[in-house]
Amino acid sequence: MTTVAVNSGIKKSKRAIPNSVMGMALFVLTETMFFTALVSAYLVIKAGYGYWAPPQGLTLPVAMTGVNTFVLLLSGALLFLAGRSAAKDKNRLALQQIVASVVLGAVFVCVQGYEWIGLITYGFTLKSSVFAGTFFLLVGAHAIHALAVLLFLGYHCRVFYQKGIDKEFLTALQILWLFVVGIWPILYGVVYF
Amino acid sequence: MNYFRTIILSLTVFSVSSPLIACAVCGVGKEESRLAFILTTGILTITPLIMLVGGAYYVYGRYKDQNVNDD
Repeated sequence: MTTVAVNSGIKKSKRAIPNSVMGMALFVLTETMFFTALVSAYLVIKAGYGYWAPPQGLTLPVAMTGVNTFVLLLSGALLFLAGRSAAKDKNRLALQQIVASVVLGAVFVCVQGYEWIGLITYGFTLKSSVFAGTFFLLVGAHAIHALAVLLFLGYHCRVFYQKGIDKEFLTALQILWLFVVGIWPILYGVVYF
Repeated sequence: MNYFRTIILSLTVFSVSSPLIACAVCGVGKEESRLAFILTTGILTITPLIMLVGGAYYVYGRYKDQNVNDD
């Protein structure tokens, strides 16, 4: 922390990294370890099994999830661009980009839910096999994170609309959402292929 | 007295316990499992170290930049 002199002559603290950004970075660090542990457990369990695939006659929706992955990446890119727009004081554009990012994120979660309904209807449930259990654990953990962050983002869209964009807090939100977006292609590659 | 109790308790625990085969890799005993276990242990060890070192380096860089701008 450095100190800067202000007009009154009183020295005021100036942070190199805002508290919200630092706190979010530490939270994301722990979340990274959480997902790393889940993926590690998945790989070890998978290596111990001879037959590692969905039940016969059932295929995972790889193509549909691939398109959905692209939607999620687009959502992450839009939130990234929102940060750049806010930095240039284009607040209206930034707000539109945040809203579009939330909408695309919601589309991702809805499509995931639709896929799950299809799989569960077929009888592919958490209890049907070890493969199914680990599949739902990994994908479900990500879906819960995505849903929670989207609710958080949605709430702050309203706050930003009413009180203006807080750039530091937007950076913290970007870190959180880009983490959720960035971890998905890894999970997709590990679980679906 | 407490010291004596600790010794008795430790001896009791060590004498009555038997080896456990709870490890997923030891239970299966396959080469693929062993490799997966070593790989994931490596990843789980390196990941936090990289993140902590990277984070510390980033914070250091930000402070350094700020000091240059303040000067």
